[in-house]
Amino acid sequence: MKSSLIINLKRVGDILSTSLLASKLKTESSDSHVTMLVYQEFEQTARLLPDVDEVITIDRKKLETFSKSNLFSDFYALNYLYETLSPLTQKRWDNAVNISNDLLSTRIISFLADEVEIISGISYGKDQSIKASSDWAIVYNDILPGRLNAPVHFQDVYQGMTTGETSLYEPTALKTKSKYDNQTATNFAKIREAYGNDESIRLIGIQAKTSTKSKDIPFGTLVQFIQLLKSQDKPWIPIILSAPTEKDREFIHRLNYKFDNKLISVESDMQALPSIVRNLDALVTPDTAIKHVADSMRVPTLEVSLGNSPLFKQGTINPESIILTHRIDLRERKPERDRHLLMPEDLMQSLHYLLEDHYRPHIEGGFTLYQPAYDKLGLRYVSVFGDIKPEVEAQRAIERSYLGKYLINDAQTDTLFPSFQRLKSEELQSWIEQEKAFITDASKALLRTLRALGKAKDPGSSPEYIIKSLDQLMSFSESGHVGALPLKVFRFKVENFFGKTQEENLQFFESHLFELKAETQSLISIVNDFENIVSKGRISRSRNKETARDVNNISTIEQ
Amino acid sequence: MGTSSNQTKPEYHVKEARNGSSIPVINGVHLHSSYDPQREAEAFVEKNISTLEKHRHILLLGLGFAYHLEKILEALSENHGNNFKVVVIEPNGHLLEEAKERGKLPSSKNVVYYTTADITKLYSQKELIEFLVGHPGILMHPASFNLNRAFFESFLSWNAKNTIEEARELPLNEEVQSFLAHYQDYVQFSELSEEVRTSSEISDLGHLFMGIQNMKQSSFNEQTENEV
Repeated sequence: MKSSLIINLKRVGDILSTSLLASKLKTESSDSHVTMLVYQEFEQTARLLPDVDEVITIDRKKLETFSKSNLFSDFYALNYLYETLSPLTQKRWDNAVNISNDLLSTRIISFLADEVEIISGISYGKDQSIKASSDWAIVYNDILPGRLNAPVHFQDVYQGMTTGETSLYEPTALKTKSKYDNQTATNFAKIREAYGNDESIRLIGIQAKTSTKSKDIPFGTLVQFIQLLKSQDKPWIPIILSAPTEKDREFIHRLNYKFDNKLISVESDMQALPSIVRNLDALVTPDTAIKHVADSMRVPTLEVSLGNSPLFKQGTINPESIILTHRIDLRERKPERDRHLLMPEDLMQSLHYLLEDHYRPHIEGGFTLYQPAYDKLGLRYVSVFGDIKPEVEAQRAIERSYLGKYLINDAQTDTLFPSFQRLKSEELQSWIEQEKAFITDASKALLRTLRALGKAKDPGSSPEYIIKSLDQLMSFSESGHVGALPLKVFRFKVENFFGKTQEENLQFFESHLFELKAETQSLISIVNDFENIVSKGRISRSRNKETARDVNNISTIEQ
Repeated sequence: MGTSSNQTKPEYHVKEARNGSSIPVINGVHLHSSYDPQREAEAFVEKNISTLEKHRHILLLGLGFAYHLEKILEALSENHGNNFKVVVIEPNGHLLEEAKERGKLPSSKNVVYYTTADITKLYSQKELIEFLVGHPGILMHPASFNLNRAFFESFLSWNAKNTIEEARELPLNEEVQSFLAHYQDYVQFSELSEEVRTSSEISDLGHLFMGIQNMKQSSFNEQTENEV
């Protein structure tokens, strides 16, 4: 039997997001057994995943009480964690994946290391150095955390660092209970019947709230959106979805009051949710866990991404779904203020685009519609309508291209860059110049470090100069420029190498400085390609379908 | 039953209330109403009903002759069926013996008694620790609490010493004790963290120890956002 362990000490959405990885591990061989380690409060969610055979839990509240309350000796926390995890040490694991990648889960996977054949992700060695199982793991640990507009999706990172492959949209439906399936099917059939069983009836689920206010669709906007939905000719019926909490009930009561208590609302826990979602024709939701349920059940979704949620790392993965967000440079700067500018008409226009073929929505300034698309590096988000900032999109595209080259040896410039030809502008050119200037400065620092390394090899020389040069070089990795990416990888490797002799250290630095040089040249080549395509139009005209759509979309944006 | 008290016996006698029930009097303090202890117990439960409705697990501070305990059990049974537990802490072991002899203790299997005035011992009881870490509802029997205020306040605001020496006395797993055996008795948990963190070769349990240390220093939100 092939045993895999997924360590996932995160929340509902992150656990649902691991469904594709679990399926991949489950189908690796006919007798695969997949175990997931989660916090106890998310056990019910983990049990929904069809390819997870076993769920082991840690009682987080108990562990936190032991470790933080003055009443108890901290050693009780250690004792509890050891006793909880020791069953996992009683068997051999063919593979263990550190999905949550926080400090505790990384210590746990390191604790289990002796029983694991292959560790995927980040772990600590016996010498306490940080080990990355692959380049994907370095990207996950060192590049994505500093990138608000991440160029790759977590979905692909999970699979990349575990199997070396990137993802496709091949979800396996979450487990459902027949009593919930039957109950929902019956109730929703009654609704359709009440509207004359017309074929054009669409049941539109609307998630009322999230646990974070800044992510919620503002109350007034939500009310007006529902009014628009109800007032149009088409029989699109809003069904308000909520969790079984007092806060949600109060909210639904307030919302329903605005509609003379005639709104249809459904309250459900996690166990019943997949049955409800699968019976909807579409879902409109702020960025919360239900979007992952809809992805698993193949229900097209309008994700309204507000606040500071990591849109490009964890957005919907269904290519039929869309994401409506503030223009992403505005998200970063003033999300709270702009949140209230969301117009009900934008939601309505987006919904039409979601449900009707060939519909061309009009999205107000300051907002963008994105749609998931799949390329060789897995899932990416294409701006399909609305307002965009070319420089921000260009940075995403170049970073994705560089990571494609780094991770799968394919920069995909023909796929990622052509849409920018129509966005040629002085601002974009000026941005390219700035990026090139940064890379030039970083390259100079790299050459200085290489020279310092040469001197450091001289007998009796002081290591001071090489250390200073390395510090200066690595300071470039802190930046948000595209040129920082190769340096982040270099920094990770240098900071986690502990050579036993100076000679061993110098050899290591030398080989990795040359690796950095090659990576920087690869990035320069990508930036040059981008510049050529944008400014000189040097691009092959043979484009795939996605690229063609990119171009069409950008042209829409410009209109 | 828990361990028995070794403290000096206080001045103690039993008195009959107006309604004929016997009540203990310690150092002149009546632990129940000298008119109607059962009625007083009903009022106590009424006053604390929201705690009893909300919690299946109740920590009761002070036993007396258990009139209030009996009413508490009735309320818990009504709200939670047989799925509840009560832990009684009473520093005076003699009181428990007397209540038992007089047939005052309820026969429920859902009640556990701890009768020691030694708080360190209480916080070394594995079952009690497991119970307390589950955040039980806390009810204080007013007369008992006032009589033993210093003890109960000290119990509720206990500050675990967190030294290896103390840990050796705790009911910890053999492997955990074996891990701790490598370190000096005086070392505190926090100091041990520095030793483990900087050691050139870390043991398997050392990883878990560092994991706990990280958890101590951050909230769940911070943990889920912190990369290594």
